[in-house]
Amino acid sequence: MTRYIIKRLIGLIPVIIGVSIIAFLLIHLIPGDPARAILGERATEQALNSLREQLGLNDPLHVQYGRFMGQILQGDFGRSVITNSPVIEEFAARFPATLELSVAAMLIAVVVGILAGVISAVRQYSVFDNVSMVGALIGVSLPIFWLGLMMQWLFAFKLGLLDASARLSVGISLDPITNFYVLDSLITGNWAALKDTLRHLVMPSFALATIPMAIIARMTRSSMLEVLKQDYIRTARAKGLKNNTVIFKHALKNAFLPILTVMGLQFGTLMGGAVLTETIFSWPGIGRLMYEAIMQRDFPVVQNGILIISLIFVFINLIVDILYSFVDPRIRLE
Amino acid sequence: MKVKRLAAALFLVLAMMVNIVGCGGGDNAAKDAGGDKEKIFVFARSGDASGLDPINVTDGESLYVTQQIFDTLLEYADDSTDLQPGLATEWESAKDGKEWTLKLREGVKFHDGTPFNAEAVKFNFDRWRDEKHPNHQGDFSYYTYMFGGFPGIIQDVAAVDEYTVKFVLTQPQAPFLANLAMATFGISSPEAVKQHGEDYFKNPVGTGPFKFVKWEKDQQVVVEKNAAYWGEKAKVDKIVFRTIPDNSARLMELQSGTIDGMIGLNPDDVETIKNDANLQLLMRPSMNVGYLAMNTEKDFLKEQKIRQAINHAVNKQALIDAFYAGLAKPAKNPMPPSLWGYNDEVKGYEYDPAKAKALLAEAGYPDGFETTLWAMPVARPYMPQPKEIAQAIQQDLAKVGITTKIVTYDWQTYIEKGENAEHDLYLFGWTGDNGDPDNFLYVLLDKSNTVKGSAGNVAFYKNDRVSSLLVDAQKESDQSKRDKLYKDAQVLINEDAPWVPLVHSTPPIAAKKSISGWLPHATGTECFVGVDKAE
Amino acid sequence: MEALLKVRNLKKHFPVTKGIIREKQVGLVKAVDGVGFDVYKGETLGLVGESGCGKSTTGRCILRLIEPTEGEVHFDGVNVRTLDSRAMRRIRKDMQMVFQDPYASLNPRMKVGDIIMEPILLHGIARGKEARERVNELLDVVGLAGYHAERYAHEFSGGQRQRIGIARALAVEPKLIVCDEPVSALDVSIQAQVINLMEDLQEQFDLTFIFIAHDLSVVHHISDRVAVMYLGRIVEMAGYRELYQNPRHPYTKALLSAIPVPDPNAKKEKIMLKGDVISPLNPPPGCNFHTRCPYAVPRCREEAPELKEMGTGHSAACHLVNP
Repeated sequence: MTRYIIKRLIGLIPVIIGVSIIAFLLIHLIPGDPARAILGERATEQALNSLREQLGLNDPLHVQYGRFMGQILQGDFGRSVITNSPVIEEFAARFPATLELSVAAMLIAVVVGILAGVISAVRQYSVFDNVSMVGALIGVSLPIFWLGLMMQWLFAFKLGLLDASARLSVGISLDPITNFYVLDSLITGNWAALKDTLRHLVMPSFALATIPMAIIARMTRSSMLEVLKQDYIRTARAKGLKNNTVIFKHALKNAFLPILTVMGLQFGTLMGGAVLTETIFSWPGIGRLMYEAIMQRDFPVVQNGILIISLIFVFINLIVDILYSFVDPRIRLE
Repeated sequence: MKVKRLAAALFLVLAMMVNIVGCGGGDNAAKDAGGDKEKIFVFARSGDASGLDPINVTDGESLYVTQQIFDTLLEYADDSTDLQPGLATEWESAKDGKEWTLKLREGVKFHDGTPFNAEAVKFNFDRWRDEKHPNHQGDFSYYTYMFGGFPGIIQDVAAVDEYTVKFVLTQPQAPFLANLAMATFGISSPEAVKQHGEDYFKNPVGTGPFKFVKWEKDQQVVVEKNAAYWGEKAKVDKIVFRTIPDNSARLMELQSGTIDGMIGLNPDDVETIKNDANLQLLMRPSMNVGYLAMNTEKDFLKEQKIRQAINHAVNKQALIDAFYAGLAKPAKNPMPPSLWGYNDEVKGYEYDPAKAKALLAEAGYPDGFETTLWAMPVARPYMPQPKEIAQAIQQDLAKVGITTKIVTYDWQTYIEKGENAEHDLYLFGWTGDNGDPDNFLYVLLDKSNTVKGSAGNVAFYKNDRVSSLLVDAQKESDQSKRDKLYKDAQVLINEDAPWVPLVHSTPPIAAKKSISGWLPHATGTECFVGVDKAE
Repeated sequence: MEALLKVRNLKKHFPVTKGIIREKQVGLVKAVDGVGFDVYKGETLGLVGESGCGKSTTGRCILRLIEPTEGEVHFDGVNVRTLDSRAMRRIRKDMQMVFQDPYASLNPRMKVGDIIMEPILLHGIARGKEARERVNELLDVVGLAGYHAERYAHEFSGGQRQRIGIARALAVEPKLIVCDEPVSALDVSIQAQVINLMEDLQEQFDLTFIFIAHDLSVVHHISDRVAVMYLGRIVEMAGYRELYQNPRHPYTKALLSAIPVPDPNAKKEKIMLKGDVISPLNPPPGCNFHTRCPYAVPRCREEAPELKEMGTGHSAACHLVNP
């Protein structure tokens, strides 16, 4: 296992180099002068030149790339040219928000998606099956901004049940410890903040969960249908097991591998920041950070951001691969 | 059956999630923790501040916050760009406007308790203009725009005594005082700047009516009332600047009452606000102009009559109705009417296609001609839907026989090509900085700004008489004389018609009915010291 | 002697449907179509037929792993078909099944020990340490070792896996075990070992077997009586010696003639069947077998033959044979 992990980590090196080259080149492919973009439409030629000098934009590309990688290897991810804060700090400030949202969305997607998928598979072609699979199709195709606005209109504006944007209401204070507000409010025993945090978390996480939920439901259904046909399921029934035991302990466990794969991919995607959801629900996460950095041509944030997000993505995939061996004993990590 | 039980469990989980969260009730949460009778004004806009050091930001999102925390030496009047005392109480110029001596307000303290005095003013200006200053960290973009680089025209700043400061300029600058009133030139506590260094933008300390409390990235900036403020004290205890990127979501929050005021409305939503008994619509006086610049160096457009014909051909009111939701005024001058020096005597060119045709015939083109019409790729307050506006103008021009082809590029290229005089008809616009006519007329229409590659005068309009008027106005420090010079210039410009001045847009603002004392200012940001909230 | 299991007129029909929104039945597969037999305590009944004849379906219907369409199954005096799901789960303690494919019938995510232990705990036969000891005993009984309990099924060979399957079936101390082609997936050399094991176990634990197989050579070793099935019906049933020596039905004769004989010089009448088993979907009228029967007469195409007594414990369904 340890050897496998080390091997995988070594295998990451070319991936990271590839990603870094793409991240580096990407911003150079966007039309327009970054110095101009940073300083604004009215910047003087003198100011533009000095900024280009300062950012090293006048050097040949390979020199710029070498400097970029050199800094990263020293753990220096640069500073945002817009806010002047270290990129890593900008990320650290927003990462907990994105992680909290992603985890909540994933929980919802997994619980609802798997349950719906299992019931659909057990009751293939039933009304539930048809309804939930059509629902899943709709879930995959719904534009999130529309869904988000409708949810806000219904639950926040009309019913007043939930809060439409941000992570906390104005006037609620919470001492940040981990910056995961659910955790923080639990740790500090701040129940008002916990309630408020959940009220804010529900809608964006549901909105964000729709697509993974739909994908997981469909994957669970097809995987379960496959497994339910297997002989060992008949064996389990012949043992005299209860139906639920057969379905969840025997069938679902075996059907879980492809579901886990999908979950891993979806979670990785969510971790990259959900730009639309974070925008609609004013969620201060890395999706929005990246979006705004791209709009403002904030080089260091975009370049290093892509790199950091890729690392997270790859890391999650590694974890999923390791989880495989726990879920399926037939898989040996070598 | 098992499956039914499963389904039941599923719905139970869902119901619980909704319930846990729902049981809080709408208003309790705010009351629970909000405490006693703290008055909080919650203001929302689309983006977060990029920094809170006013000199190092250029965006309204940041300046809106810093405006509350910082005072400037001079201030704009609430409802115009007229100047009034701020941290400086008196000012006078000497040596033909090359020297300015300012008397400072006494007894003012920064939020960190350090005193405000001439040394503090000197420190701020030295930090901004001297690239070698130990605290010169950042772009200081606005300093370079307004004062022409580092150190620019400010040769020296001297603390004459505790409360007197003297500026020595390399050349007279008429809008000098107006520049000092810009929110970006807010005066920081020297101690705080030194203490926080590169991180000062996260720890702003000024003398303003509100003190900085905290900034949670992409979520909110909180400022609280400065009880020791030198002027009239703020009426609310706190202001929370929230970031809600989506326009519709932001409006929904206003409707559901979680925010008190917002900027950034979809034009379509103006009606919604008018129809909502709990909301009010405020209009920000315009400090911009959207225009169609005609490249006076090109064939056809060289001809004054043709330019006048085009002026008559464009239906401005139709544009305003179609694309600005009525929230704009048709323009006749290159500067907005909220500025002093605006010449209302100028008649402009009314919409009259027949007259346009006649002028074309006079110019020798009774059947019109072909040219290109350049459309901006991005929306701006003065040009919300550039492509559609270009199409409307295209149709207007077609009616008088002028055939146009619409051209567009990405924003950077668009600007560069414009500065390079590659265009014919060019849609563009300008938002003023300091409320001085110079900031419109000189920047956009003086012959000295027609250098290819960096031209601000994209009509490449060169009129020596206009230019001498504008330059004279720069040297003059008597405002009534300047007023006259600018009015004269507008008459000449109108006659030459290098532009079709299209509109001055008035950005709408929405607030709860319970909010009073919010006076939107033409500069784009305003101080909330007078804002109150009825319970 | 009282029969442990009585099966009467057992039918299993699968509807064939078309359409997505509104399903329309377009046909009926009569997988099992009126099967009846008795199984006596301690004996082994062989159930033989080509694939698709309904023998496995019969086995599963007896345990209600598939719900029969019609008919009665009496086990130990209880009408199994009337039991609710809870009572049904309880009675499965006494009726177990060993499945055909030892590769697919063991849950790949579970350790062998857990596979065997699960029914022990479920039916309350033993708990905790005792249960673990019982697992070890069972592994020992089927010729495996206690340490195998910690392994997963994929770590074993086919023969070993079938032993695990048998241990699992034995775990609940059942009275009846339905063995659904338990050796057909195994190498011939292993088949004999497993069958010998089963014979030993039958003796040791006083078990009753229904032994399903697709050729007569396998059941020959172990069966006391043999029932031959064709297209959902029993065509001939007799004590195994009687059946082998005196087959009456043409189909049985054909099956028997297909068994390779060790002596190459032995003369034997070869009966070759024409074609394959016909589709059980909409079978022809008359005798199911007439399409392939070398002796078919017009009557066979019109009238389905009844299962008739041919002698003591020997019955056959053919118009052409008489007692």
